[in-house]
Amino acid sequence: MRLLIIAASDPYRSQHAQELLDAMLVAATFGAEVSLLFQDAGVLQLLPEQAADRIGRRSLSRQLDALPLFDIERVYVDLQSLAQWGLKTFDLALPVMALDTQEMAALVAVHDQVIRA
Amino acid sequence: MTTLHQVFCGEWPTALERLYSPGDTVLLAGASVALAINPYNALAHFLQRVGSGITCVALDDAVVLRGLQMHWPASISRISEAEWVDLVCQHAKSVSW
Repeated sequence: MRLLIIAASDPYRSQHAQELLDAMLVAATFGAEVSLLFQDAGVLQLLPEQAADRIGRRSLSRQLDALPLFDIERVYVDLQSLAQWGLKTFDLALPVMALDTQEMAALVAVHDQVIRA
Repeated sequence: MTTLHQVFCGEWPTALERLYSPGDTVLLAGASVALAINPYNALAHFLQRVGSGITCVALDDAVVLRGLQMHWPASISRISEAEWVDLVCQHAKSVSW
């Protein structure tokens, strides 16, 4: 099964980002082919030097570093969302491929399931 | 009588602009701190329109938590939680957005 995860939540406003990451790693462990797209405030999950210890949580960007260990190597970012925050791909903690609207539609089309949170 | 506008949501509350009065302070806390890193969004336009008379500050913990310090604009000061308490005391009212 090809699974597309769309991470669209602010990294620490709620538990959504952490729970989505956990679900993604479980899916990958059970053999799903997982792709990951960051969109809207979810782009902020990719910023390096997060200090999650200030609220007693684990840094999302550091956890995302482990994605290759789970064979999750297709990581994308919404180009428009990136611009919304005035960011460039080189500002991010992970190497990502920036996609325009048409490319994102094509990405969704080739996956069996999509989860967005 | 001035108001402290405490913004928590990740999207700029445009209704705040209608309630804003000279002398008020806008505090960015929680997810709203990310609004400050984009020089072209609704917050930036509001600050430009109001001009230099406005005080806009952000909670340092929320900034550093998200790793935004590398992109932080010099025009918005970062304050500690103790300074936040001082701000609340300095204003007659506080409104949370």
